Amino acid sequence: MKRSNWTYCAFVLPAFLFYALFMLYPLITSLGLSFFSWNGYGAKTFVGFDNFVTLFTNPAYSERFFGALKNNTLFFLYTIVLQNGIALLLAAFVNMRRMRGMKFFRSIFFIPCTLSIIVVGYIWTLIYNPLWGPLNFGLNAVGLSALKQPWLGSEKTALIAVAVANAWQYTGTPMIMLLAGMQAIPDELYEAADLDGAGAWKQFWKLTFPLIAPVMFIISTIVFVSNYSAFEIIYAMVGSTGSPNYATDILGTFFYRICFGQRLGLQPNMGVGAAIATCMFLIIGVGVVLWFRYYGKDSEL
Amino acid sequence: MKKFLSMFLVLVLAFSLVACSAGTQPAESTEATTPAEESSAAPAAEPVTLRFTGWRTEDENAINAMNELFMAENPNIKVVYEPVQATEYDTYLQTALANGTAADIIMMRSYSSGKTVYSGGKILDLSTENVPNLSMFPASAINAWSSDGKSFAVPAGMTIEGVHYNKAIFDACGITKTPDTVEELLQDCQIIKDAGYLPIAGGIAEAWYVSEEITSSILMATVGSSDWVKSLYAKEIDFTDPAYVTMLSTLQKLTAFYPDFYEGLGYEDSQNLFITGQAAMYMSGSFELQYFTETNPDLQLGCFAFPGQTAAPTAINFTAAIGVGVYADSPNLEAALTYVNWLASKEGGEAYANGVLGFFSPNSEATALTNDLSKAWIGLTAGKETIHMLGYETMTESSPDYSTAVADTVYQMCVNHLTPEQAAAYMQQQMSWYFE
Amino acid sequence: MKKVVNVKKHRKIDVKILCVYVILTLYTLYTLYPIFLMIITSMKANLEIMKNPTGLPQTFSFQGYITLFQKENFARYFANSAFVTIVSSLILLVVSILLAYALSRYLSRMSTFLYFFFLAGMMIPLRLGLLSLNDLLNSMGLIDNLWGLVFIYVAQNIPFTMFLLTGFIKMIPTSMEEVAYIDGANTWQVLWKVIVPLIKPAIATTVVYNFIPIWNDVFFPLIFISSKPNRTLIQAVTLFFGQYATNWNLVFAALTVACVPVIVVYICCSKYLIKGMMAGALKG
Repeated sequence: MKRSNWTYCAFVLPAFLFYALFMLYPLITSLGLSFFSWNGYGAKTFVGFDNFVTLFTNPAYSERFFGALKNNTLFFLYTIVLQNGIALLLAAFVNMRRMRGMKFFRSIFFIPCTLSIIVVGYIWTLIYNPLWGPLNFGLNAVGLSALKQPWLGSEKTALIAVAVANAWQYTGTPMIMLLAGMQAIPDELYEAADLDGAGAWKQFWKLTFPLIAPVMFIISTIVFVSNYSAFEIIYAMVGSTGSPNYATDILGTFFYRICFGQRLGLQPNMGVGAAIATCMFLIIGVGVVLWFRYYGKDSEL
Repeated sequence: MKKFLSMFLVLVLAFSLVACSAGTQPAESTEATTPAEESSAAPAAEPVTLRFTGWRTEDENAINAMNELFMAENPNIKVVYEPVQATEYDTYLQTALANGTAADIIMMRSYSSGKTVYSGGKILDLSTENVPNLSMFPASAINAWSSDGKSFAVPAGMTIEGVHYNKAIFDACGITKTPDTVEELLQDCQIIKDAGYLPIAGGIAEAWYVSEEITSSILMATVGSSDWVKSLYAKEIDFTDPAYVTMLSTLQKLTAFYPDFYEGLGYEDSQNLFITGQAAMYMSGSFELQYFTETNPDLQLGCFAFPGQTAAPTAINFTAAIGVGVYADSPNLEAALTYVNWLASKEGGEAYANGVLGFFSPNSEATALTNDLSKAWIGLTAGKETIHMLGYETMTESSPDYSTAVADTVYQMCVNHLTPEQAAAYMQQQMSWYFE
Repeated sequence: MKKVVNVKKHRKIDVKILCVYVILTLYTLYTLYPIFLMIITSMKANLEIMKNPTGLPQTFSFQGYITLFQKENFARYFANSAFVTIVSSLILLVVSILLAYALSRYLSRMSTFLYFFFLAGMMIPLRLGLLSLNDLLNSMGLIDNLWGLVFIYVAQNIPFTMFLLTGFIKMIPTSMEEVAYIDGANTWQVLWKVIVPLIKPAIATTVVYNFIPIWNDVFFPLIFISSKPNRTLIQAVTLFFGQYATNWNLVFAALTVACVPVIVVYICCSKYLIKGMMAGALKG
């Protein structure tokens, strides 16, 4: 590229304008709203940290906020275990030597990733329906009717049921990324391990796993960011009320309820909503930075 | 690579073909999918198009048919009904009002549950000056959408809360008379259960259904007069009152006749169980009539008021459900006023009540009903005191609102096994903000 | 039976492989069953869904699909989604190619800074900026306007597209460009005549990769699109449930229709998508 500042600017500017105007500006100013009291259309009044104080100390908000934070963390842990665990297993299987049809399997496993979350949510709502859902129906058919549950209606099972549907959809992505990591490992290493007499199990844990750890790290970061800003899957399956008894209330649904999902006569509380968004931003931002500090040094670009 | 590009081109082509066929309904080309071009495409001589929004998605066909009557009389005005799912409606409406994209005519909830909307300065102030036919309404009906001495809506639909029942199942079980007392109701439930039917279609997973259709009906029949409601609103009694405990314990007894896993069933699951003829009874409101008769015309529907504790009930919910107002910044104010004035007329009121079954006009002159089921429901109010649903005149303006609180309470009682007394105390604790 | 004579070790491995195949096949069924369920449910009568949720329909009915297109104006929503997806993908591609080229060929502190400045956008969900985004679009008259969605999607997807394209351009040796410069080409010509043809596979990957989430998005349409003729397909499907909440076959027909475009795109381009993702995983 010729070293002309004008050309450089002309090339960077279009993207910069879109990015600055429709992404940075709204993000920064939205977080700024957390210092104002605002019902969405009237005047804004500066209130300092009042919204945060309300969020953390007024039981009507704080109970929900910390509940949502707890559920969000659980949701994240369930997803890590279910989605990444299964993805690792599948990738290891598909990557086995002497396997045929690898491309077929990896293409199939990725299909759910292409569906809209809303579609996934509604399909799984039908599967979980306590009366005519295939899950309870199937349990009945195989004589396990004692295990039948109102899956989305019980505090004990609702969040994990949503996490299963979520993992069903997104297992394909980490699987393919892990597979890529595994295929990048040179065959000679395995041949050497074979000569040392290491079994498949030992080879996997001693050789494969450490080498794909960087990929695992990237995947976990993606899951972390997407889970702490999740909304749609919960919304599609159980709505934004967090039912049953707030067992599925996560930060995204709480934020939506306060700002947009007002029912009946309640006024939207944009200030507290912005305070929730700020907390989500801090959790995600601090989480990602710590994560990279702790682990990310060697995966520098 | 070439293969990919050609595939992409084929896709683009396919999309534009679909887009063209989409454009055949309104005369527009593919590119006309952006609203900017759309709005500029209406010359002045064309008839005015009014957008009418509401949460009654189920009644879309019926409301369109009703609007046909209006349009036949006013050929220069076209009314398009664009409903939004009830659970998303309040969100949608507040966003649209704040952004200036609201419809010309707006369906509104009453009292405190609609107050944010109608008193927010975005809804046109209505009086007998701009809507002459408002004079035909009793003040009590207009008050449901008033604040600071101003009125904002034509009261368009009242609903009654009670019990729908399936006559075929009652006949099959040999039940000839609808129950007058809770004891009779429980006996009937047992008979129906023994006969192998599901006695009651219901679930507690959705807050509004619990508060509006279950607890409210039971409570009115239990307290028997509006005095109790007034004392509660006046904070002379609270939710630990024995009547409220009785309501909760009645519900607790009834849940024995609910479907398995009713804690995970929502409103639509309950509807489904009833309209497919699997359940004998379904607690809800008259507003289901239109949807039920459209969806399953073979269903033999009947209704009764929720029974009293010891004798036939003396009070029933008669709720100001639907008010229709005008968006103050509407570019078609005049046409919109013509429409709401028509809706307020005797003819318009009867068109609503007879076109959208289960809604009743509070217009004192619009009383002619043609449908037998509508007549049966309005008959339930005869000789009883009629009261607006509890918790919706007030008690929704702070968090947790009445509806959320009562649903949480019922969940605690049914799933976490609180006694009715403990549950009432829990309710009181939730609603303590009101009594402060 | 004759083959039993074969070496023991081989047979043992076969059993192992067989087990793996069984597990993979089971997981394949688990992956496909919900999609299969969606399709068969769309063709069942309502009562049958409740009485026999798992089996095939007794009689296949396409009434749901007919209603969708005749009565519910689904063709319009389909066209809206296509408009938003195609236009935003094109804009996104052009601005990202320019950006990625500048960042990967004009190496300086500024470029490094800008690289991370844009990359940070991958880590921050735009929905946290919803409140001001609403104000911004409102002041620009872009509420209830499909262009509003286009701009949001462009901004939101620049970071990832830039990330992928920069990686690819950096792998191309600069010698080819130098030859073009010597022949008298300007930067613009070099980019479109030399670089773009070389990174076509990467472009294909990003197109497919952006197509899916933009087509599927429901969050922004739900908040910014209010009038019926402007709804996107997925949004229409979402809002559809109120009206036909108990009419499952119609609802599932709508879901199926909403899935078809992305599944078709995926089947056609899975090669590029998976390649791109594998490249991304290794570079990350």
